[in-house]
Amino acid sequence: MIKKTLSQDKSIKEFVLNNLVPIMFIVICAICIPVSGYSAPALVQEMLTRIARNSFLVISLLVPIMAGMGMNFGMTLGAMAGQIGLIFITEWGVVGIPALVLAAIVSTPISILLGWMCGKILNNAKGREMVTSYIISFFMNGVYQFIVLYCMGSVIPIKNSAILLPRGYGIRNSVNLINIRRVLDNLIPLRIGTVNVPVATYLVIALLCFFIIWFRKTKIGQDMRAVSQDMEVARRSGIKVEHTRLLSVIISTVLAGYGMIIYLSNMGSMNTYNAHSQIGTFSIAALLVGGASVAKASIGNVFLGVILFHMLFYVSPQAGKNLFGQAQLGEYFRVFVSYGVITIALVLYEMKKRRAAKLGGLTLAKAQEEK
Amino acid sequence: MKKIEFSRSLLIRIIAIVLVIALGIVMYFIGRQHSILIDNKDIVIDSVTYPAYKLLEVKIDDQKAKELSKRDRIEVIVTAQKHTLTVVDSMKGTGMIVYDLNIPVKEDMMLLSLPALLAGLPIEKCLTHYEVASIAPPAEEEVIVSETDALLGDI
Amino acid sequence: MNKMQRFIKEFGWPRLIIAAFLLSLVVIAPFAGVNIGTSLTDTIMRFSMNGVMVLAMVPMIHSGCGLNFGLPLGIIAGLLGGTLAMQFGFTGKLSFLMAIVLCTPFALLFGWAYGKLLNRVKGGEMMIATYVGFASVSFMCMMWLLLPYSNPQMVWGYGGSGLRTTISTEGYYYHVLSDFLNIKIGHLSIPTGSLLFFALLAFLMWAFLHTKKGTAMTAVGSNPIYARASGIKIDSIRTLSVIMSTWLGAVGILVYEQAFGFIQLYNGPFYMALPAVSAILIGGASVNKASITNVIVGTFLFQGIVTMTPSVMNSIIHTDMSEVIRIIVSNGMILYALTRKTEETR
Repeated sequence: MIKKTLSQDKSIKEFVLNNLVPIMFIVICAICIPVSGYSAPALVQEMLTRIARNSFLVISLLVPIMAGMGMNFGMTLGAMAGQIGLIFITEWGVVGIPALVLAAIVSTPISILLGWMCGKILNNAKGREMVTSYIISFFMNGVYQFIVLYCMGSVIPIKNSAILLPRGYGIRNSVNLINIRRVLDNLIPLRIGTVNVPVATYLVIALLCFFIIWFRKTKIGQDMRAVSQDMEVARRSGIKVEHTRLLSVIISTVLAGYGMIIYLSNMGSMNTYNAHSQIGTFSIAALLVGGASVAKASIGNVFLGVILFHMLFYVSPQAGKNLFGQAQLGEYFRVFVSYGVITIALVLYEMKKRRAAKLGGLTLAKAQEEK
Repeated sequence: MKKIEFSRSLLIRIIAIVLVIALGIVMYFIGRQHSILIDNKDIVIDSVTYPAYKLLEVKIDDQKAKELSKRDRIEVIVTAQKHTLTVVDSMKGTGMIVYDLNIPVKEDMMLLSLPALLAGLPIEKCLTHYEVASIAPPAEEEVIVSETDALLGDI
Repeated sequence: MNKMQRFIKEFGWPRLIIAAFLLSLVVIAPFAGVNIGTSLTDTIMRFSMNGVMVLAMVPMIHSGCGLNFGLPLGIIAGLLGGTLAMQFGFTGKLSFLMAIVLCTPFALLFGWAYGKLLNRVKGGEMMIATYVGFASVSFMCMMWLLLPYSNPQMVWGYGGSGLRTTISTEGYYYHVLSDFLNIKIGHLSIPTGSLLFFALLAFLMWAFLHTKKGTAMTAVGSNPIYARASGIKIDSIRTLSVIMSTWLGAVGILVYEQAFGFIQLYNGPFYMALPAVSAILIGGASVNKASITNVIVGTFLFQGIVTMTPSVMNSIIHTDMSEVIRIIVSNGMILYALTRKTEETR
């Protein structure tokens, strides 16, 4: 009897430890929502919009995790490619759904190139993929700025004065995307009570989810799993390790580019020099909030994470205002929470990895002793 | 020289790329936005004056019909290139006259003169390229790229 | 030829490119109408401002904790010390001394906790360090708003509470080191005080690395198995290195502020680790090897590029591309260091 409760205790503890981040978030949200004073329909509307806006980006992180490469901070690269696609469709004066498709087509080769580069570099930095991909995102940010701020209009032909800086080259700080604003969201209009549901966007996200589920079962998906478990074993069984890892980064980058296009079309305007770096941090935080770890993430984690994270993101400025009289405090709070969550998740992951290694070592030693 | 082998997968890849590029071009054509300025003003073409009409009713595709009195100009925004223009002379009460408009894909903005069109001139003469006169140069915009600002703000 | 190749390999081509780039800047400068004297003054000034923060990288690299991307944590301690010294009403030279004294307990405490944390995540230090830095900066963003500071020079004017985003150090420790024994020769102006202070800390670091504890630290970083076998307490040595690094970060930001003239709170410290990291790497350090020479050479080269590019670029192509170049150079250098295969010791 006592033994049983003990094991129950242990399993509860295990459960809490394994889901520490989501549980913390649920608690914070439970406190912040009543304080913010938002009504239920307003919250539902906001969450529906934000899930539609961000899920695609967060899902793009799943593939490299599958291949054991951790959180792909290089998704920023995809986001840059998406933004370049959007700059071009605005320049060409294309509107509506065709514009979205065209932007996606333009972004694809750029994403593939950037993803390939990122993957090549990461193959040289095995074991520290995350910090390397993080620095890559900074490095490429410089290159992006060079191209968009100096080359566009001078080397790359851009003539539209609405997006070009008055000096004649370089793209403005903020590009108005009125040409594609919410076109996907409003493609299939659905209104329940006072709440608008962006059906078409959800269909696209569902399609991507099925793709991910299908992809896991393909030969490449299986290879990625094998690579994530043990690179050397995978290599010995004839899997091209480097190639598989490269592919996972490329797929992630391309998807991130599409995700960025969907995201920005919902936002309706583009912050040319900041949007991409912002999106990397927050997408990763959202995924981790959903209970994913650096080594394992599912589609369920994505949606739980996006809901919880954006719930907090939405309510915290108002909650900060109501509690302390400063909305700014809420803004800082959500930045702190995003970084805090990533820190905790990374620490838990590293600790688990070490414990597993130690355990592995112990069993090995024991087995040798028994011999 | 080694003979270049066209393997099946390479062929499929090339076809796929070509298809995607073709799709992109199609998207460009059907998503391209143009604005048409429709004019009801006196106009001189080849030293012939075509006087403006008193009141005209125009309609492009299925958009809402609009009325133009003398010296009026309206802007209609359309996507893609092929459009139908329906004109009714409200004063004479003649029937509808339907024209087919074909806008070159590269044009951002075009000017359509109704008096010339109704006088029976070929459409190429009535539908002309239009450049927006650049307004006073806008104030210089400073681009400050701050790495830290990226963290604040909504997503 | 072989010798040449080996030299390039050891030196590393990014460093070669950076050195060539700086050299070309120096050569072009006179033709572009840029005064070398002023540029040199600026470079030396910036060197004295940033040197200590680059020095802060050394202990953690030695103990095998990698590049200290968590430098903002130390900077936070320094900011606390600096603001508290002003809050308590110390002025002039005394305020700088008191700032160092007041930041020390915070640096020790933060460094200790940070070191303990890093000991539990061996192998993944750099990523976690980055996020510890970010999390602490964003946490302090809230604290700067909430802490009960009252010195009118520091808090927002209009009734509200909370510290300003930038606080002038005028009347407190503004230029206390820079103006100490300042030498002026024509265009050249040398902030001797700051340089001496840096030299003192650098010397202490060098001396420490030659003590028994210091050699133990190097052993932990370069050969942990040997270190364990010879009875060195690896974890406590690592913690010590992290504490040292954090404290140096704290002092580093104070030196920076006294020369710069302003304290930058809130988002200010977010990315301050990256220039320091890339400076030491440009100086020839790697992820697990660094010396005082690397610090000096690296800081000088890095700050040289930072000061020379805008002026030279501006006068040649009338465009200020320096920011872009700085981003590409500094991150490119870090990237190179992270991907070098020979350094995969762990």
